[in-house]
Amino acid sequence: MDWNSLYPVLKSLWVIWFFVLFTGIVAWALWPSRRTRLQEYGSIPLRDTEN
Amino acid sequence: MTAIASAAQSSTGIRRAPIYADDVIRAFMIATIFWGVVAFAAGVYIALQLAFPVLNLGLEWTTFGRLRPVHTSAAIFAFGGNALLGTSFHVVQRTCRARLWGGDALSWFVFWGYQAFIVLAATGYVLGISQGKEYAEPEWYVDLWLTLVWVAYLLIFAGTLLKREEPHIYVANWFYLAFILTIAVLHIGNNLAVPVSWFGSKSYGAAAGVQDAMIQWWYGHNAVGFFLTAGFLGMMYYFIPKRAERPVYSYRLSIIHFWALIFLYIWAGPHHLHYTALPDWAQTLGMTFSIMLWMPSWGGMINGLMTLSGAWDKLRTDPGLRFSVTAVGFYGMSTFEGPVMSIKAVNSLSHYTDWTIGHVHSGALGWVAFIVFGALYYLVPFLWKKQDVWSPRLASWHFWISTMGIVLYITSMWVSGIMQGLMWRAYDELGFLQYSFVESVAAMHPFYVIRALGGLLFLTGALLMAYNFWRTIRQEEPARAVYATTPAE
Amino acid sequence: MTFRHATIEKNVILLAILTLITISIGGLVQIVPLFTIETTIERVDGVRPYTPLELLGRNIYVREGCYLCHSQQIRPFKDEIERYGHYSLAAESMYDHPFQWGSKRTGPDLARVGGKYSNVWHVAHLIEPRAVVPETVMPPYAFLADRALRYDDIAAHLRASRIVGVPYTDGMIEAAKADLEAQATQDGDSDALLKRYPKTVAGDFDGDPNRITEMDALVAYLQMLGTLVKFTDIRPEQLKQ
Repeated sequence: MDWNSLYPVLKSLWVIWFFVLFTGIVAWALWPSRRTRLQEYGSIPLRDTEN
Repeated sequence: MTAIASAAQSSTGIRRAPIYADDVIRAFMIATIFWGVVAFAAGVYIALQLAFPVLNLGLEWTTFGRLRPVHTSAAIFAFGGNALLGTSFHVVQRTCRARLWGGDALSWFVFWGYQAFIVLAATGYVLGISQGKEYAEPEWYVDLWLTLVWVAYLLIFAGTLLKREEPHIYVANWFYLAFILTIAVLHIGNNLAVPVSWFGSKSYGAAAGVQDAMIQWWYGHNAVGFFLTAGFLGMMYYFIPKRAERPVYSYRLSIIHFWALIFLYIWAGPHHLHYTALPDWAQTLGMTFSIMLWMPSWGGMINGLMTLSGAWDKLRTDPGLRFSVTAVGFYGMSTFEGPVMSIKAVNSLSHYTDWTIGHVHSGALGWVAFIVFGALYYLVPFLWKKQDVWSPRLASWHFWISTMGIVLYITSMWVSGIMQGLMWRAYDELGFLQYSFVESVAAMHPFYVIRALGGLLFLTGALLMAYNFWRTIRQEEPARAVYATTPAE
Repeated sequence: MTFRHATIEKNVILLAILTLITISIGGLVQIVPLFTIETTIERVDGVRPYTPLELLGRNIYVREGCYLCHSQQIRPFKDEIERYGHYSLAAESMYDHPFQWGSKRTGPDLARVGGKYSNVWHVAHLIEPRAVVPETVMPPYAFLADRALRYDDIAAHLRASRIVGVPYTDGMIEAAKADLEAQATQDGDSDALLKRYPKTVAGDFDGDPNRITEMDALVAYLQMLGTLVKFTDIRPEQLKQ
């Protein structure tokens, strides 16, 4: 297999994959229905009762 | 979701915390303070050597070339590393509500094993044992030892996550986990070597020339990205909310922050090799990702700072929080400066000059050290069960003295760096190079004196902190009234 | 399959694997092609493995941390080319384990320092830098002149280098000790040395003909830096990466 000819193809594919994946994560994190649940997690450090 | 809700509201609404392993964390905190002072003192000394070369003393063990790795390793791996290991053990236990996995013996092995790594590395440098790769100077036998300790560390951290009581893994732990895993990969990748003999210290690295350069700065830049950034962001995401007594501004942003940061950082290494014999495509790739990195960095900064909204008044009374918040400010500043310096046109001037040194220190002193100081001012009284630090006033002095030190440091390095860059490329009216190299060396003298002064102030601040903590730990009363992790007897 | 981030955030192993994949891609895309694309290292003549004496000199350079203040990488700018010489090629450091390009110029670049100063100048400068250049901030390295070079294990150095890819032949390894002495003292078989390592300059580098010191090795290394490639013979297409 010739790496040199494969390389540009892989590179552009990677950019697309990166874009899709990242958009997915952003959309997932900002989806309105998850808002309450996710923000709730923010209080994990404060739930500690030892002091 | 229901699991969390029900767990959080068991019978009384307050759950008894398990008995956490705190002894080893206390040891890590003492080591952090000790190595911090060593690192800053070594820095001041070698800064003075550059201003007054007679301080090299004419001895082989005290030359700048041998002591500089002592300073960088002490700052990054000893001071920063002990802070990361200690706080990660604290945070993972508290946010998982589980005692450290693997028992006390294993966590003490990680503590002493890590100190042994530091001592082995540093004594090697002084005696002239070095791989000759920046921030990866330890030779093969020290690298092997660190690998062993690091695997034990990963096992403890992941094991604690696995046996957690809290269903969700809090985001600070994601950053810590990414730091531990990535450093393992980088450490092994950059340190592959063949020893000359099994009884000697010398080895030859697996890669050569341009490939070695790329691997080294893939390592070097991600040591910044994952050791000095991701790990300390884990610290930020726990201690700022804890100290401000309010949850992080946006937990959703913190998730995006995490993935964007680890996606982008790993690509940025080649910006250390602009205009070198590294092929252009790699340089361009490195520059592009370095500039993109500005976005998640500032996302994280905003998230940290906005956590304080509605609680800004705490900054007046809480010197620890003041350190943490200023740290986030410096984080924002140096993660803006970094992408600017990765632009090839800017880099052609800034590379090889003191500007880079100034940039590194705005990150290392302003971000890393300050976020550690913030955590320490919270953790030391907490772990030794005291109401507060012995003297908040002294802590305040520490803050202002250190801040002044940083300002002196980075401004003098900006001036000297840009001046060097301009002198090297200056032409006179006849078309000859205007300055010989040594003229640029002589011109740096005043700035090297100012830089050393800045470092001295920073060291003074750290000594005040160490004294303050010593008095805090030693003070008889008033101990905190109730401490739930101590079994009542 | 439905993508559930909730699964990731609750599963340590999954989080760890995804993190590892994410961080591996960038490194692989940047590092692997440097080994597979043949033009990464320019096809120029003249670059050869270090002689045994130069190799030990280079190890002293590494040991003392010279790379912390001196770069060995000239960038393709007018001022750098005028100050230091032709910009550096990847080929010129192809046998460097580790590379010593450096990242800071507290002192000048050394990529082509070879032959620019005399041996006497280098020795005097290394013993007491300020005696030669009053404004310099370089530490003195007088101890190098006092210390005998340890080279009983020189063959093992060449052998280890060969394992990591430096083309030392069996003959070179066998003759390593003799070659080292021939280069440092001029007493040995310098024809054989030159045949194995073209363009080698032999001589008494430290000015003390009675013994081989660390100073001999370091100066021998400094004096060969950047001297192997003859740029007048190179066609532009050879430099394409």
